[in-house]
Amino acid sequence: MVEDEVLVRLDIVQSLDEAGFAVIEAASAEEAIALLDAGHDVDVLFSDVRLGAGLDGFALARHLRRSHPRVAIVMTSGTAALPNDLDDGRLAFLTKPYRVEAVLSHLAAAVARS
Amino acid sequence: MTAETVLVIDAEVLVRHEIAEYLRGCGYRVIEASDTDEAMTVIEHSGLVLDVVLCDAQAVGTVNAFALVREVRERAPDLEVVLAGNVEKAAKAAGTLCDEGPHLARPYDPVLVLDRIRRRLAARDRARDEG
Repeated sequence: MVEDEVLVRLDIVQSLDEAGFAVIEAASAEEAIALLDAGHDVDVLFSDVRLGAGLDGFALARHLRRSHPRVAIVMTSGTAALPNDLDDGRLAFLTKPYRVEAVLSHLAAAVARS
Repeated sequence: MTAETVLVIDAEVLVRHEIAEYLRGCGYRVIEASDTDEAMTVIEHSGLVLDVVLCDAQAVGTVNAFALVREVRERAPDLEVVLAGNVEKAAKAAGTLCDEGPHLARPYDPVLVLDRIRRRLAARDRARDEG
């Protein structure tokens, strides 16, 4: 779960935890990459597109496709549209504001596909 | 019984995640903050009742770790604070901001962190009972 706004991260991590997911949280794309590179076993990455000063979510998705291609990806944004190079049916995109049920459904589907 | 809540502030995600997972495994609810700004947001706006702050003395953000500790003590005097860090570096960073150095070495020894948190909470509970 990658989200740079701490209160948003707090809410969604709690919801995912209550839904039975084992959640690893990251405050930035760089933190997410560090966790994955350290060998943490991740099935699906759920990330906001806007992630503060560093890499954005799309750059993170491109990085993961090269470095960790088995990790399914679900992205979310209230403003950005999915770029053409990532719009190949393998990346789920969720428009904000979202309902938690929609997040859970997308994550479960992504895990099933991975 | 509701789990006691620990706010862990550490900019190094691998270090933060490891100690957070350890404390979760010990039964605590753990909130992670990557810097002092996130920590202040959690303290002021999350609505959560926090019990302990575990803070790297080298934590980054608009304010440093010692200024954060001072803020916490002013705004939430019941909140227990455990500072962790390299003693020499922390002493330099402390300067005139705070007369208290770190309580724990970092990288963390998880068993020592747990012991310190338990002792702090036990002391707090005793003080409440006596008060």
